[in-house]
Amino acid sequence: MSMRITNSMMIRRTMYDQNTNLNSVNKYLHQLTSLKKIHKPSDDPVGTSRILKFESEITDTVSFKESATAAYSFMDKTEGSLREISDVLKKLKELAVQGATGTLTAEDKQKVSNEIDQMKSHLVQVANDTYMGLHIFSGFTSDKPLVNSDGSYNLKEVNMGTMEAQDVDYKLGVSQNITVNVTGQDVFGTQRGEVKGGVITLPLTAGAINLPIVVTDNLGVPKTITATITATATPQYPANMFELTRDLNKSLKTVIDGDPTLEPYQGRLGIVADGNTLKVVAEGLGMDNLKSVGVNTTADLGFPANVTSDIQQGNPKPIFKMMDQLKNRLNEGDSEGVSKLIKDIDDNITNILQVRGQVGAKMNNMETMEARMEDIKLNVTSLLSLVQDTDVAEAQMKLSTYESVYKSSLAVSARLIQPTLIDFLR
Amino acid sequence: MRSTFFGFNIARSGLFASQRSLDIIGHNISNSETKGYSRQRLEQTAGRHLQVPGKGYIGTGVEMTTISQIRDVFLDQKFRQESTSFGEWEQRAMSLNQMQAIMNEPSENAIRDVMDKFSSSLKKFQEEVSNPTMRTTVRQNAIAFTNTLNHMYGQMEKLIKDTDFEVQSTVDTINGYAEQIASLNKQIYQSEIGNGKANDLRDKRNLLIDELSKMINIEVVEVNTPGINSNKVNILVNGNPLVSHDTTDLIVKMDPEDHPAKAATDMNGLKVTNLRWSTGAKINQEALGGELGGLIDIRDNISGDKKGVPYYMDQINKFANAFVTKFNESHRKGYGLGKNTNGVDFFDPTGLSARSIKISDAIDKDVNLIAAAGLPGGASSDNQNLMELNNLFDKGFELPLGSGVNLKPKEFMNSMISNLGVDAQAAIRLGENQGYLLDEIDGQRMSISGVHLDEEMSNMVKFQHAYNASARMITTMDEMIDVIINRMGRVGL
Repeated sequence: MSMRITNSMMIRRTMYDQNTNLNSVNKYLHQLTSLKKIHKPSDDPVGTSRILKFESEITDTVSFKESATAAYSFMDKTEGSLREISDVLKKLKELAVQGATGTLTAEDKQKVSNEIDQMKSHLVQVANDTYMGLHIFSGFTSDKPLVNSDGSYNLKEVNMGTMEAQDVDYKLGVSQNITVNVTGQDVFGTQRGEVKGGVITLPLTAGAINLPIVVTDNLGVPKTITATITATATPQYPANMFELTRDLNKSLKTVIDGDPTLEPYQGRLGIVADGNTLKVVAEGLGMDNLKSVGVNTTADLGFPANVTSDIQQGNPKPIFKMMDQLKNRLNEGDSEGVSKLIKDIDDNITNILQVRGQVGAKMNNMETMEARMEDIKLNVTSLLSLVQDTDVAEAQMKLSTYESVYKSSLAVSARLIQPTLIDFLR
Repeated sequence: MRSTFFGFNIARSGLFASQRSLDIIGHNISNSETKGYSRQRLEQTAGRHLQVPGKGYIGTGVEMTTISQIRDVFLDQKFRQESTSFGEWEQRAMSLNQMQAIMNEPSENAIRDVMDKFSSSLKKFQEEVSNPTMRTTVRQNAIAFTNTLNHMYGQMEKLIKDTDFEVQSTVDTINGYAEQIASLNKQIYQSEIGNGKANDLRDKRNLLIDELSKMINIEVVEVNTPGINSNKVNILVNGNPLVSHDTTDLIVKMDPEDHPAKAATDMNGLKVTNLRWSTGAKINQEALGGELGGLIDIRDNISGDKKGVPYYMDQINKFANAFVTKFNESHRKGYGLGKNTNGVDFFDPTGLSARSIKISDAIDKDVNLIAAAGLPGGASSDNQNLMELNNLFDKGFELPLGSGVNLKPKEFMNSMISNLGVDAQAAIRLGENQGYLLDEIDGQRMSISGVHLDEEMSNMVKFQHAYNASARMITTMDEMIDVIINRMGRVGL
């Protein structure tokens, strides 16, 4: 049986269909005018989630790429400084080779001496080189110069004790870090010895502990000094450094290598906190002559302690000290001593080359990284566009389709004014 | 013997019946576009016969029985059921659309973007931790982040308040309808006490019940009293008589009380209006259905199938709580620029919800306290602690979406927004489907009850002819009697 159809039913149905058609036209018009196909999460929840993810991904990638660029510039500057140091050291070697022949006149000696002074002040400048106002070799304390004008480390302001750990790291990926700086001691030589592998676990009860520290010099003569450490309730001990006492200084002096030019010792011995454990550390000029530093394990400490180890040597021949020695030995006409120093200069040149190699490798790495980030950015951007952007051709076609559907529905609506029986009755 | 004027009576009954039918046709045509109107029809039967002795029976014309309306009660019932569901989904879709507007994603200036900016300023910061511009940028981006969360929370709170207001006005409308229905019940009952149906009043009542069914889930129960023509109509909500023939038990709005989800999440000072029956009985607010049910779900639900705004408030609250706690924990480990002591909070540690999250006074006053450094002294290039802060964004931490798994903050927001998208999409789709279904049922109803002009015209012609024929009949009778009275027996005059 066919359904009974009334006029208002037809009108209602037509209005409903027309509205549906107009909605479709509107949908594609909106897509074409905004050029986006997702306007709110309910349009496409999965697509929305992707858009958010891709947008964040792009922001992250741009950040990481910028960091990589910044790291590259920083290392580029470092590399330049290292090249200068290399050049100076090569010239220094030439002078040393000249001097080793022992044929320098007093005038020559004066000239060479002046030249070495010049070189030294040049190196002091290089050691205090800055990038964007920050000293590149000073570790964390980049607002302070690394060395004083006489080539000695700026111990007052720069913490050489923890220099080794003062890696300035940049985050270049979710789990990718890179150390951008080269610390001064890696370049200019260490002035500090550190007990490697020496770990004392201190009980956390408060109170003072007397820790006997045994210092063994190059001749194997042990000396003991007592460090008093106050443990606090929190397991973070402040750096606890001890100025060398006059006595100890004297006794050390007698055993350290017989170079009379290096005195007095300005060293410090001390305890450096590393979380819950302590490291025994010696630093300062001349400290590199110590053989080992450690805790006297035979003493009754009242807690387990098992520490003694060789001092870890960085660059064993500090550049500035070496220059001073060279100048002295040349002045004294000690050609044998000068010859010995040539070996030291060579070691330093090798060291700088190694450091430069590392920096260069990292710079290459950064370049690859930048390129890769750019690639990722492009890829993600095109993925984002795929999810988010209107396919113009498709939308145009659909729009035309729905437009014609809508138009024909309008045309049909005109026929809604059907003649009724009224028109035929009179 | 036959009465002389018997034929007149028969013709008269036909005349009157046709006239009445034409009146009804006129009424139908006039009301052809009246909302809720059902077409009416005169029911007529052949008149009571008379016995003609020895011959059988003779008809006495037509008898009008009732004026009935053409309406299918089953379709009404179906319509109302679907209407309840339609009202609920439509309301839900509208509210969730507003939630989507609050989230304002995907876009270039909502929470995703703000969080990304905060995270990338922290990343950029690692290159120059002593640069005051960088520090200020980090702080400002953090403020933008906290402000956005505050704003989102505020908007949601406003949405709850607006919804509460809508609940109140919907309750008012429901009560108004209930009273109108009760008064119509009384009128209809009284009108129908004798015989017949009060068709137009019934249409009015049906229309009101239709409207009511969109707002709340109702059950219409008709009670028949033996011996009485008219039924009493009761309207039940959750088994409670909202309308009981001519009396009502209205819904009462109680004084504002704390939001029901207050115990689960931080909803400081947010009050809502709860409902009870005027008799004092409790109303199960979760089972109301219709627009009112939809509104209450949106206003109150913190979990379940029909999550409301409180769910999203709870999510961003928990997010803010975890974020502040974690970020502060890492931040406290580090040292500010040139500072020898650590332990400074970046965010105010008391602001553990999206409503109250803000940066700490210390950071607000001194950007140098932003703890980038890992060592005491806060040297100018020490960015060790920054690594930890950045890792919070890049590697994530335990967020309240699921325990035991680390989530990045952006992943959390992302999943919350897609969740909203799925919910809103479902509500919109169900609303549309339900609307379509309702339209179909209404079409069927109209097919039965609607006025069709062609039909009325044909009937008009039909009854006009019937009228004319009856009139003709009277003329014929008249002529017959004229012959008898005036011309008979005049032979030879």
